[in-house]
Amino acid sequence: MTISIEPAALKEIHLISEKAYPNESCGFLFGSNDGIDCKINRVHEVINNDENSRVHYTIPPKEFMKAERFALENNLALIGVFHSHPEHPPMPSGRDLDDAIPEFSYFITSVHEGQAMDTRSWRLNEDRLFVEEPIEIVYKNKLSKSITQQHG
Amino acid sequence: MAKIIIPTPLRKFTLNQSTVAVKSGTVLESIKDLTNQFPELDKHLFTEDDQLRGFVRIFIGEDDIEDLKGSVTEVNDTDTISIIPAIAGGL
Repeated sequence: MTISIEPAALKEIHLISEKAYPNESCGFLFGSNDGIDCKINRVHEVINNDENSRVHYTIPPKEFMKAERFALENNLALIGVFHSHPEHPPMPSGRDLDDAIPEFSYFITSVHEGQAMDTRSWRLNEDRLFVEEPIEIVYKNKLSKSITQQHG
Repeated sequence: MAKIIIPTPLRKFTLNQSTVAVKSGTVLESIKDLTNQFPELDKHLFTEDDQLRGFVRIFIGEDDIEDLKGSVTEVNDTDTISIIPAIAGGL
């Protein structure tokens, strides 16, 4: 499985994450998925109402139901979720792993002093461990480049 | 038979079926019938000590089973069960 995202969608994730700082942001990723390539072109923020939103996020079941309905009505695939790690690297925590869903991409954005720094994507493998999946930024009609190279 | 609606991320494990017919009984028995039909689902829905994972929320119709009798809530043949992920995480 490869994962790619349009620059505007990635920028929106960064803006949402910066707006939420110093709290964690969260939301859904939509696009197309043919079983081999996932292409993200839309994101939806979910307001993080977790009582400890500085270090935790929660997306309630009803928000998930709404996201599935939105995808169905707009002929999109629900590809995964994003959230931010204020002042921490974009690596999944034990808490992220415990509640992780298979076949979902987990985008994590690190935010330092209010500025989005880096975004990485993670997916569960067959042993229920997170494995990083390189994100390709897709510029329409241009070559893609890897976000890990861009920031690496 | 009752019916379970499968959320998008888990459909890979149900041969892309969005709904699966399962035995009625209790919620736990219905979910276990699902994982008996599709064994790969078991480790994603249940922990190693056979408890439902934290992200797994079960609804019967519009009702969260946590507001009913939890995993021993009775399921009838006409009921529709939904598995809805409650996504959470963080630092």
